[in-house]
Amino acid sequence: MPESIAIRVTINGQPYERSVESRLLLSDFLRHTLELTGTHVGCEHGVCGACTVLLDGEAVRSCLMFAVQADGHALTTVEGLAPNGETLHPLQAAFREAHGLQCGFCTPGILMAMVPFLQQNPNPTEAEIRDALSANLCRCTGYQNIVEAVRLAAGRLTET
Amino acid sequence: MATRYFGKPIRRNEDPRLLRGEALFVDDVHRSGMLHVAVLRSQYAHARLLGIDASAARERPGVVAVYTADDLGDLNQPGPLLVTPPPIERLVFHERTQRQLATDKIRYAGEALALVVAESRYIAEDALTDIFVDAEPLDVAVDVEKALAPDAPRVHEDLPSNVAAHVIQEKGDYAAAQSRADVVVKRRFVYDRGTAAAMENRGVVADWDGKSRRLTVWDTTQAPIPVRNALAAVLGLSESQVQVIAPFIGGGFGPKIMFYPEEFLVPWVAMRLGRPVKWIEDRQENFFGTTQERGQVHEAELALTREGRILGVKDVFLHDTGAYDPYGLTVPINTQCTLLGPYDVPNYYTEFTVVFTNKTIVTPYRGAGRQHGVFVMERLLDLAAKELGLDRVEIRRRNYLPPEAFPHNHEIIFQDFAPLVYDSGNYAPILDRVTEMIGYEQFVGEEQPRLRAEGRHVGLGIVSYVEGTGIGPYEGARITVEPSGMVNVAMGVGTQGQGHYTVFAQVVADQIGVDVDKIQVVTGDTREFNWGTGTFASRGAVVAGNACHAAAVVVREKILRLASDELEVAEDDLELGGGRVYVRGAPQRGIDLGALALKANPMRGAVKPGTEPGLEATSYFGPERGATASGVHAMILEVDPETMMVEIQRYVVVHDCGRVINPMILEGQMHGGVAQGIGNAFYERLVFDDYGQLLTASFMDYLLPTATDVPRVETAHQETPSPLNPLGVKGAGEAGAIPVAALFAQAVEDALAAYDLEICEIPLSPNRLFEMVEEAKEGA
Amino acid sequence: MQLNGEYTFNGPREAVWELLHDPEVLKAALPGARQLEKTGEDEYKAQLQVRVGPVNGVFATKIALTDKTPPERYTMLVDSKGQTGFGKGSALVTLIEQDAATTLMTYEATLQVGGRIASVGQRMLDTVSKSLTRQSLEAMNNALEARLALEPDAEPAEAYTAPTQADFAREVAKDVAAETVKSRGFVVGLVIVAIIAVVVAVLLMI
Repeated sequence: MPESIAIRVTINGQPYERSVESRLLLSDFLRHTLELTGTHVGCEHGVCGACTVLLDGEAVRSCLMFAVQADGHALTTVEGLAPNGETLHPLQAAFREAHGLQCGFCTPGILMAMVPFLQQNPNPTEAEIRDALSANLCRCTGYQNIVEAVRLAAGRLTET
Repeated sequence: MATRYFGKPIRRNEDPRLLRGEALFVDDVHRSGMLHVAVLRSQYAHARLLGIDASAARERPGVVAVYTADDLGDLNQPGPLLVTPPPIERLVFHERTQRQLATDKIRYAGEALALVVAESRYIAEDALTDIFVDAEPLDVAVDVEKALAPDAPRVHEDLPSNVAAHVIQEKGDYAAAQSRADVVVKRRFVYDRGTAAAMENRGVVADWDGKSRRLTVWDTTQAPIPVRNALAAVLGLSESQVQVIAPFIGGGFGPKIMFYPEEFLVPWVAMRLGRPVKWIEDRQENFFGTTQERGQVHEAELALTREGRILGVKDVFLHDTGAYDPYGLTVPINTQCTLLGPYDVPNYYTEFTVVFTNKTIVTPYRGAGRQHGVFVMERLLDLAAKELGLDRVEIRRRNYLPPEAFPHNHEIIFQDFAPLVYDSGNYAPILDRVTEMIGYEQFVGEEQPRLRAEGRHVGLGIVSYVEGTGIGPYEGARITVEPSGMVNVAMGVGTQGQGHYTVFAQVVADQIGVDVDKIQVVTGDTREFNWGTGTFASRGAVVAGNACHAAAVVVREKILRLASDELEVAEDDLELGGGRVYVRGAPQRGIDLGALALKANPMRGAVKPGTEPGLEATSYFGPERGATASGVHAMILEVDPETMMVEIQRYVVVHDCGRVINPMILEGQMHGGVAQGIGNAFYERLVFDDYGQLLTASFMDYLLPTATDVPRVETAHQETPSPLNPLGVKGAGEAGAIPVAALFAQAVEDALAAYDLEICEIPLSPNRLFEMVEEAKEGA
Repeated sequence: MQLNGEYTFNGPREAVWELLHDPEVLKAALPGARQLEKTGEDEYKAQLQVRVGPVNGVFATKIALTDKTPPERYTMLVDSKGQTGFGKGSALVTLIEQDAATTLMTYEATLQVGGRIASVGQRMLDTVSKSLTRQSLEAMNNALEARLALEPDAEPAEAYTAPTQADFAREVAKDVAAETVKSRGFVVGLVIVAIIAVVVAVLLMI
């Protein structure tokens, strides 16, 4: 029988303690063990970026990590973006305004990738935004409105 | 009455849930005690299946069951034929559909052989490696032309050859036209396979409640109602016992309309084991097991006068359907019909042969065969223009059907089984608008020559197309005003990102005068609405939208009638707005719709004979035939002569899909379609080797365009309303994707004009361009 | 895929012929061969455990030697099936006497590779196959030299120690790196190899 390893992770500010198989992917841990299904899985080989979450503030592909590797770390997933049930994070609000999502499957991964990007590049040019987005695949939008949404969000975040 | 919501770029109702990660997709469904399935798929493309030994797999701890064809017994029948062939004379069609699990023969790499059910997906996949498959490989039929050779390996041995179907359609007399022609341009065109690669892979979760005898299925399908009907039939249940839910779907694009083996097997397993069962496809499986599209080879010719007027077209082509043909002839018929484009083609001869090969099954994928037709016609026109010394915009303009020509009957049969009749259209102004937006004259006259003198390879492409949309048979909607004042709209068309929760609410809002965010659209759940076909063929807005409209009109009438009684005012003096019905000019004299709904459902007293309780209506809409949308795409690109990489500098789309319900959502559809078209033209290619092995089964090798590959798309609209439906709308879902291959070929040829290339194949790639240029250099 | 090449053995042609038909030597020279048993005249069955970077698994293999014209040429048929893929093909092997102590072997092989390895491991296949072939031939050559150097009455098998799986794996890794580096430059080459190896490993695991 595969052995279980005890891990402790903080996710969106909340501590979790679980016993997991060493080969359990971080994406499966989030989605199936903890039922935080906002993070999506598109390819399981690290190309599409739908599984992007923040590990200690940095964007990582959760399909390429094992849950045990997150032991002792702090994660942020899309469920932790909005400040409360009524208000959206400025990035989320901007995506809605600019129609930056259609089916919404790739969206959580893009939101999480853009959070650190905008922190480090508060005033990005369109080329810089497209470059940063090139690590996430979207099959519905053609990216144009996503770029608009990020630009809109950048403007708003620098105002606050 | 004035429209307040129709035509406005209203923000989507569904977005907050999606943005918060709270929307339910199929893999998000968790049921207590749920088991997980992994599918064993064939590694061989063509083999005799001698036996499957799953004994070791069954013994693995955590494995609950392993099923093969033997376990299914009589239930293992060939799946349903989703679309019967249209009534065309002399049509030949051999129906061959896939059984749920392979029995004695394997016909494509990826065909399902066995099902492992275990406590976790991890254990189920481990158990796949315990299963021993005894198969004797056979020679493989891969290339669509070679598969027709007399000694080619036969995919279906009960047939005399690999011919799956043969259809000839004619209009006028092409042979006569050709003999009169001043110029005949004849070429061979090849359009190769690609896959939809939606970000969400397929999945099915099934839960059988033995006590209430009810089956609940969550399925990534674009057509929940037909799936429910098929499941009920196959499992021997009544339709009311089966509920199929298509929750949020991460992209459909066509391949999620099918009746795949897993859609039957997972519910069957759930009923057998009495526990909920989940199967989620992984990306590799998607490359093999989800349907693909595109492989066709055309020998086509265009006969013209010296002035560039089309006398006739002849097109003989092969269509690769893969190992089975469950979707009938939809794709090649679309090719035949869409080839005609916006042009006046008096004589047309078109013949196709559908060929079985040992590859993944082909069913519609965004465009569904239209892009092949557009590719052939637009390329022929470009080649003719070159030969006649005509400008490529001019040759198109000369052949456009004039605005007086509608309805225009092309006589041949379309995918909706009716003769291809263009309902309306006004093509020349679209072309003018595009040439103006892209600066055609200025580019061709000044900019391009100047840049070329600097040694740069810039090119412009401009192509035209017509898209048959909005076909029947029908869709329906049920609208209910609830006592809270919320309006509930239930429909049968599932959503995969097209904004149905908002677009249909807009149509209803205009009639009932309620704000869009107070209108709740419920869709994709067979328990909520019982009749319909699904989301495909750019028909949602047209067919379901008009059904919504029809139902909303009836509800409006009920509101006015009841309010007129309640307020003792004539119906003509009443207005609806802000969720109330009130006297015009005296808004304080009115009643909230929610309160009116309560009054319409009395607890005592009698409901008048001939009336129904509540403020509710159900209506259906079935168009007599499809509405014809049209458009023109243009782009300017630059080719790097050393790397052969392409940079798209400008991209312009002008599209005419009649009246537009939500311009923001429409533009989103255009952007997305263009992105898929660009991928299809230049980045994406499915490569099969001579043994039917797919060599590009991951995103490492199958390249989807990223944010740095897709340009800004400048869009504009023209609205030529359709006379075929009250809202005057036409479909638009596939339009972005349809002409892009033809556009790319023309623009790249133009950019590399120094080498005088003739691009008659798609997809292109830097490698391929390099080869073509080298060949041209050697030939010179 | 095509696998053509040649190799010079340090021994006379008859000795090379015998060596190539000796199941004990074959077992030692084939990578990860767990068992090799004779199932008929010139027919063998083997379990090959291949663990070379991302290419991984146990392959049930059938080998048959046909069209023999001793000591000049024969055809080897291989049919290999495993969890991560399958391989089937034939190789025409020709032995040419160069002088009393050297024999040139040429081989022309056509191999059909399918399954998961083929769909995601294309980039690795060519180099890995060439590397495994080269190593096998080297191992056989070493066995030949050991055999020839022996006293006439000693046991042939003792004198020679076969390379281990780890040895094979290490050599393949070096070859793959060398090939990529040759075409791309040192740092880029190693990075590319590392990335491909990770992606292919992930894909073969799922």
